[in-house]
Amino acid sequence: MIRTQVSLDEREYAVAKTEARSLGISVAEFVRRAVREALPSRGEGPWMKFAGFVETGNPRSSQSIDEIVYGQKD
Amino acid sequence: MAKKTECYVDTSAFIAFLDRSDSFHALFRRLFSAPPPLTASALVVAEGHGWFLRRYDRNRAIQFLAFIDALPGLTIRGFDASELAKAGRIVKKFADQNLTLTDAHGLAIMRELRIGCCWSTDRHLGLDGVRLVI
Repeated sequence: MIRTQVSLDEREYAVAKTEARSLGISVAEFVRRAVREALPSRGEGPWMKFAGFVETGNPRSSQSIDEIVYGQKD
Repeated sequence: MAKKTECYVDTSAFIAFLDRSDSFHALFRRLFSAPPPLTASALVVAEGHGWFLRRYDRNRAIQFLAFIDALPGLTIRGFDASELAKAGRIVKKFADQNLTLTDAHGLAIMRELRIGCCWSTDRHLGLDGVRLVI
């Protein structure tokens, strides 16, 4: 394990602490999990970390792009 | 080993890959994990960026551009006056369809480069008979 130091602003630290407490883990473990989530899985290309990085809740999301980008007719 | 066939990639394929809610997400996750050489119109990138700006915010839109930068083997075809003329002809040819310039430019590129495979969930991209992967 490599030991490192990170600086967070006050708000980020407060939110991270609250989230960590609600999960029953330390702030350090919370930060480690956040880093793991942001990194691609082993054996995958770096672009794969973007797979599913948003969740619209719309199963037809890719088929309704024009409505979002160009808007709907009145 | 046989060389992978070049495919055209449309905005809808990018969104299906990036949005975990999309019903085609698993398919495009698998396809993008080992992509063949891909070509896209610059308008596809603009459309994808616009989608994230409208649907989410500028930070997610910038993440989309970071994804485009990170994707290996992607060729972006520019859109200038001569490309506009080609896309415009296709829009007129399919005047009975709600074809966007982005769709039309994709059809023009596939026709010109003789690309026979298209990553898209948008049936418009199959108007010229090119096989969609879905």
